[in-house]
Amino acid sequence: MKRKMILYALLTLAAFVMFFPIMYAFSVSFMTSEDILSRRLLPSSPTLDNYRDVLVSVPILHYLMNSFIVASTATLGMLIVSALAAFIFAFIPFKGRQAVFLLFISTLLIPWEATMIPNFFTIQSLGWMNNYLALTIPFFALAFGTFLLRQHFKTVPQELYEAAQVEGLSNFQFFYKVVVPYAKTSFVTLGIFGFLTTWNMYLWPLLVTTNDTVRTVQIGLRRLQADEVATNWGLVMAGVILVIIPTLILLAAGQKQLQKGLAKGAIK
Amino acid sequence: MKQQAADILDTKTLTVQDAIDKYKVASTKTWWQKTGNYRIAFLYLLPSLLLFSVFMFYPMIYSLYLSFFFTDAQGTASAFVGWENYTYLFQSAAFRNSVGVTLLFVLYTVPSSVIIALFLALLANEKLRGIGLYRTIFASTLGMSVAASAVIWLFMFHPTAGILNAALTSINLPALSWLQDSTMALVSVAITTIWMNTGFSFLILLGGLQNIDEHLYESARIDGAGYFYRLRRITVPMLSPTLFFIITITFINSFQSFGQVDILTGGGPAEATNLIIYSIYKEAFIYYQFGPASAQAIILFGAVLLLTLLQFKFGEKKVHYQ
Amino acid sequence: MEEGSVKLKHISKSYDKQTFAVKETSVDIQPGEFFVLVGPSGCGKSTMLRMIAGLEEITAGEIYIHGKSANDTPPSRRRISMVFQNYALYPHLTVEENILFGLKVRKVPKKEQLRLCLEATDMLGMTEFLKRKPRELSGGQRQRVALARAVVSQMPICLMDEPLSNLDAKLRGQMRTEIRQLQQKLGITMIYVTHDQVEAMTMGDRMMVLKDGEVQQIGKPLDIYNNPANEFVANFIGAPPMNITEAEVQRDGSLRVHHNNSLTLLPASSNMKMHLGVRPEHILLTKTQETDWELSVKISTVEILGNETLLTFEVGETLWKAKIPGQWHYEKGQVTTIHINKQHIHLFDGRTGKMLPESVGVARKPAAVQGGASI
Repeated sequence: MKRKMILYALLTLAAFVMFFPIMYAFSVSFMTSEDILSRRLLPSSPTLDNYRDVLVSVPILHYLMNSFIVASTATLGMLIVSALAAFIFAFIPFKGRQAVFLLFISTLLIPWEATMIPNFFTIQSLGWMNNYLALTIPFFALAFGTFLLRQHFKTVPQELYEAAQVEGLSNFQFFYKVVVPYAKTSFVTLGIFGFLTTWNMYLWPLLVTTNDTVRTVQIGLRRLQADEVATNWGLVMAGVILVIIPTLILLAAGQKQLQKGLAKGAIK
Repeated sequence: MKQQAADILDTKTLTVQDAIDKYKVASTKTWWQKTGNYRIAFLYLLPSLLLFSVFMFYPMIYSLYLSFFFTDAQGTASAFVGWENYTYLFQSAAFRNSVGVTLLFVLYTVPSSVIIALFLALLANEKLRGIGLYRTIFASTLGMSVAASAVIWLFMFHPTAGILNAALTSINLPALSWLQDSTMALVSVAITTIWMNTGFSFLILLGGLQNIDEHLYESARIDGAGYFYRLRRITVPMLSPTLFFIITITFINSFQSFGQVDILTGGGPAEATNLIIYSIYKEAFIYYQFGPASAQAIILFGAVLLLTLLQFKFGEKKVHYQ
Repeated sequence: MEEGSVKLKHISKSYDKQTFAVKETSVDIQPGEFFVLVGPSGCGKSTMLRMIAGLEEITAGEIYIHGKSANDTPPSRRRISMVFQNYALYPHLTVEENILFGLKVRKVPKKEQLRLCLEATDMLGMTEFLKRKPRELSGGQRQRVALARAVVSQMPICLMDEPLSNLDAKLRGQMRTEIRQLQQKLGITMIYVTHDQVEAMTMGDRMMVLKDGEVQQIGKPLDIYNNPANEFVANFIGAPPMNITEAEVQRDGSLRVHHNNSLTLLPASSNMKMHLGVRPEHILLTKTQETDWELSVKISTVEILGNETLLTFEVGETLWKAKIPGQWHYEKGQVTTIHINKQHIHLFDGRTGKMLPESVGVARKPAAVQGGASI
C-alpha cells in the first residue's frame, strides 16, 4: 500500500514535470495579453481571441494542409518502398543479398545533414523547389523502416511461404495476400512513426521552401514566432497548439502499437 | 594404388563430390528461369536503391568532392583547393568552438536523457490502475515537433514574461538569463533537447522492459531478491540491448540538433550554442560557403561513423542479447 | 509410369558440399501407397520430403513424379498437396478462406469451390467452423483444416511433414486412424514424415528408416520389425527398444552372454565380435515348450502399468528390459530366470552393426510365419 502511494506520487510528479510545457502552452493560448504579462498559470477569463487572430494573421490552415499532404504522402511512400525491400530481405534469397543488405545498413551511418548541401542542389536542378516532391520523395527509402518491416516479415512462418509455393502463388501474390495482412501491425507502427517524423521535419522544409505554396506548419510556426514574438505570445501559443494537436492525438491513439513495434524492430 | 583402394570401399565412403560426379543431372531450367529471384529482387529493391543512390550515396560523395573546392554562390565548384578547406577549419576558432560546444552539448544531453527516460520507463512499467494515462503523458514529447517545443520553451525561458523566472523569484531565487548568458544558453538548449528526446527513449525502453520474461522476476522474488537487486541483476542486463540502442540513437540525435538552436538562440550568444549542424547551415545557406560547409559535413559524418563504430565495439561486449 | 507415383533415383542432398543431408537414396513409391519416412530428428527425412515437394533443390540424382522427371518442376506444377507440422494456416483468413485459398489461386470456378469445400469439411467434421479464424480453433481442429486443404486440392500425391507432432497423445492416436482412412478413401499417394515409430508402424504400407541422411532399411513395417537390417533399426523400431548386448564367441562355437549362459552356434564362426539382441516382448518369465534358452538375472526396477509389467535387469554390462503381460511383483535386487526362444534372437556384426544372416546358426523362421505373434 505504502509502495503504491510512493509510486503514484512519483508518477504524478514526473507527469507534471513532463507535461507542464504542453499544458502551459495550452493555458497561455487562452489568455489575454494582461494575463500573460502578469505571468499567470491559468487564464483569468479564457478567450478564443488568440485562435481567431492566428487564423486570420497567418495562413495556418494552409500550412496544416501542406503538412498533412507531405506527411501522409511521405508515410505512404515510405511504407511501400520499405515493404518491397523488406520482402526481398525476408523471403527471396539470392547471391549477394548480404552485400545489398550491408549497403542498406551503411545508409544508417550517413546523417541527413551531411548530405543536405548536394541534396539541396539536386532539388534545385530538378526544379522541385517549393514543390511537394522535394518534401516527400527523398524520404521514401528508409533503412530503419526496411529493417523494422523485415523483422516483422521474418515472423511469418517459413511454412506459410512454402505452402504458398505448393499452392502456386506468385511472389507478388504471396506478398500482398499473405505477408501484408500478416504483418499489418508493423505497418501501423512504421506508419505512425513515419507520419510523426515527417510531420515534424524542420531543417529540410526550411531549405526547400521559399514561399507559402508548400511550406509546412513547422516552418510556419517559426515565421509566426519570429514575426509575432514581441507583440503577442498568446497568438503564438494558439498556433503551437494547432500544430501539435494532430500528432498528439495520433500518438495517444498509437502509443501502445509504437511501443511494441519499435522496440522489436530496434533490437532484434 | 590409391585408385584401387577407393574402388574397393563401399558406399559408406562415397563423398559428396563422388555423388555429384556420378549422379548429377543437368538442369533443364533456362537461364531466364534460373535468374527469376534476381529479377524479382532487382525489381523490389530498385525504388530503395535508386532513392538511396540519389539522396544518400551520390550526395555523400559529392559532399566529399565539394569539400576540396571553392564554390560560387550557386554551389558550382570553381577551384580545386585540396585540403585547404580542412586546414582552414581546423585553424578557425569559430569551428573549434563549434566542435567544443557540440561535444559539451552531447555530454549534457545524452546521459541525462537516457537516465530520465529509464527512470520514467521503470515507473510506468508498474502494474497500476490508470498507468495507461501516465504512459501516454510520458510518451507525449514524441509527438512534439522541434518547432513547437522550441517555441514553448522559448516563451518559458523569456527573461521577463517567462514562467521559469517567475517560479524562481517566487521562491526568492535570483532570476536567470536563460538564453542570454553564454554558459546558460547551452544548458537551456540542452534542457529543451532532453525534454524532446524523452518521449521516444521512454517508449522504446518501456517496450524493452515489457519484453522481459515475467518468470524471471517471479523466480527472483521467490529467492527473496529485493527491488534494487532485481533491477541490477535482471532488468538492466536484460534491457541492455535496448539501452544500447537508445544511447546510440540519442548520441546521433544530439549531434544533429538543429531546430531548437535555430529558434531558441540562433547559435548565440557569441556563438555559445553554435552546434555543428547549425554551423554547417549558416556556412552553406547564409554565407554560401559551400566548400567549407561540405568539409564540416564530412567531419560530422566521420564523427558519427566513429562514434557508432566505437559504441558497437565497446558497447557490444557488455550487452546481453537474448 | 502412373499418375501418383514417385520415384527417387540416387538422390543426394548436400548444403555444404562436404557432408550429406541425404545420401544417395533410391526408392519407388507406388500410386495409392502410404509411404512413411521415419528416423530421429536430423536424419534427413524432412529434407527428402521437401525435395519431393520441390521446396529444396536436389544436389545429385533424379526424381520422377507421375512418371515424369521433375527435377526442375516448381512445387506448384508437381500436383501435390502438403500438410505442414504447424499446419501453415493463414491467421488472417477464416477456415473457409484457408481451405479455398489454393483453389482461388488456381481459378477453380466458384460453384466447384463451394462443393469441394463442403465435401472436405463434411468428411472431416469441420462444417460448423467454416467462419472461424484459426486462432479460435484447438490444435486438433487446426490439423483438420490443414487436412481439408489438402483434400480439396484433389492432388494425387499428398506430403505430410510431422503433422501430428503438435497434438497430445490421445488426439494423435485418433488422427492416425483418420489420416489413414482418409488416404484410403481418396486413394491418393501419401508420403508421410515422422519421428514416431508408432506412427510409422501403424500407418504405413511401407516405410523407409533413415539415420544421418542414409537409408537404413526400406520395407513393410512388420518385415522391418521382424528382420531389422541393423542395430539402429532394431533399436529405433519397437518400444521399448530391443535389448542389445555384446556377446563372446567361444572356441567351441558357442556364444556367451554375460558369464553364465551360452548358446550354441552352428557352424562355429571365427571368433568374431557379435551383438545379441532380444526384443523386450520376447522375454518370458516361465519356461515353456517354445523356450530353449535361459538366463539368470538380477532385477533392478519394476514398473507395473496395469495390463503389463516392465522389468529392468542387468545382463552383463547392459540393462535389459522385458515387457511381460499382467502384473508382476518383484523386489529390487531379486534374482530370477528369464526364458527366451532362440528364434527370437537377433545377431549383429559387432563391428558394423549389420544383421548377421541365418548362417550364424540360430534357426529362424521366415518373417511371414512369425508375424502376428509378436507386436
